[in-house]
Amino acid sequence: MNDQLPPMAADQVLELLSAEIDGEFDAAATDLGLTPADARARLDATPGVTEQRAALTATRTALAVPALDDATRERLVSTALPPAASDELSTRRARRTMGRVIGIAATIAAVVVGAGALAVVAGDSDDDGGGDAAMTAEAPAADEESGDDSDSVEGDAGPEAAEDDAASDSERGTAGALVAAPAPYSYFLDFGDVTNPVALQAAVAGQLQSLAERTARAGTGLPLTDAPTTAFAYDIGCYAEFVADYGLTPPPVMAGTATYAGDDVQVVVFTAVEGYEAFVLTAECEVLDDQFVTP
Amino acid sequence: MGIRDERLDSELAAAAASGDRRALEALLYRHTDRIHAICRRILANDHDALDATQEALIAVTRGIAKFDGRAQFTTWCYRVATNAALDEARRRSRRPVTMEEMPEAAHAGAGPDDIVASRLDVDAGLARLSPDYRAAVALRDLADLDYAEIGQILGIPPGTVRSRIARGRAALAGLIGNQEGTPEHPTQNTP
Repeated sequence: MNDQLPPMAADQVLELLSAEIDGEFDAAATDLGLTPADARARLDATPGVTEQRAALTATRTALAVPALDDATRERLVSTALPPAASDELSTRRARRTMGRVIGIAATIAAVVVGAGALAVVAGDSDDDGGGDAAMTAEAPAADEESGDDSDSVEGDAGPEAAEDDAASDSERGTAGALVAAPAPYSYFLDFGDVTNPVALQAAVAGQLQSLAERTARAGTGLPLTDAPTTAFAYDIGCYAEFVADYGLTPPPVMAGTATYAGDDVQVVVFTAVEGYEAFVLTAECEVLDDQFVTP
Repeated sequence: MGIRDERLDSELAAAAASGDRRALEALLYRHTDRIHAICRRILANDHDALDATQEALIAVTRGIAKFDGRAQFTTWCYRVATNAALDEARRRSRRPVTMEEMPEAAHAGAGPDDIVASRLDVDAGLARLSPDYRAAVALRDLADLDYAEIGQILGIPPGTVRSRIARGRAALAGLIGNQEGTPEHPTQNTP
């Protein structure tokens, strides 16, 4: 029966076989003007069709491409993705690291300058030198006694007290930097309501400005050397962990209290490359906000 | 390792389109190998294939927000990959080809189990086809798209898709020694 069928052209055989592999045989037959049954019969009557079918099928296997290795796939995908928050965090941490380096360098410079100033002052007045010793001795004690009563601490040494102190800071500020005295409570500031990031930035900028002015009036020329060595007026066990997690180097430039969405929080400010970085922390050291501040 | 997400492509694509970076990442990881395979076979060159794959992934990232879900994600994604590979092929055609980039000729003495030789032969066979033929074969055999989908991507009727795939396979079969009496080889000038 098949002997009576006319032979098919090589192109037709090829297209039918290829379409058969892809499950598109009927459509291919119709496009060639044949019924699927006729096309099948004529194809079967064609010599060598079995071998040709096997050869065409084998090309599918030959075309397979090995899977990419994990590193290449990772690189391709990560390059294509937009920057993630984690990438931004890495960038910020890098900036913090640079800030730490700059901060350490500034501290060293301050110590060197301060040592020179202290030598001059010591030569001028022995009484003032005694005052320095008293100040540096008192500060740690005040810090230890702070307990949970931060209000009374702030009452003892508010802005007025700080300004009074500034009158003789040409000696005292220098001495404080030299021994890295723990924070007198006057440095625990009130940042107000910092729920809004803009308000936080404004409050920190304002306090930085105020502190810089006091420092300048004191005539020490030492920027912010009277910073607290601990961030809180009372002991928080998680503080060290927070500092380590964020790669920060104490002491912060400033610290204080604030409110965030009606809750009492702490604000700590550290030196960063492009200025300062302010953190809003709960008592459990959860970071509620983290803003860069350029004075 | 890439992230795993069991959601369907359509669900991930919708989430990615609305800005879900994790969904986009999962989608890219899921389809990178397939995209690379398509690019690899269209370009028949490792280096160019990686470049095209990168371009395709970036194009998916940039275009996902406009993906409205009317087409299947795979169809859209492989269209992007095919366009990236064909663009790369056009760029390559305008620059000189180095010896390293030229596919080697079929190895007369190579056995059918010689994987390395086979791979070179496949590249050599593919290199004799125009990129449009390679694209049709790759989209069928590597992406498992049907003729209608391939026609959509390449902008040609299903009958032409069928013809290109058949001729591409025949050329390949002849060159890798799977078929005696090689059928006519479509070249870059073959319509």
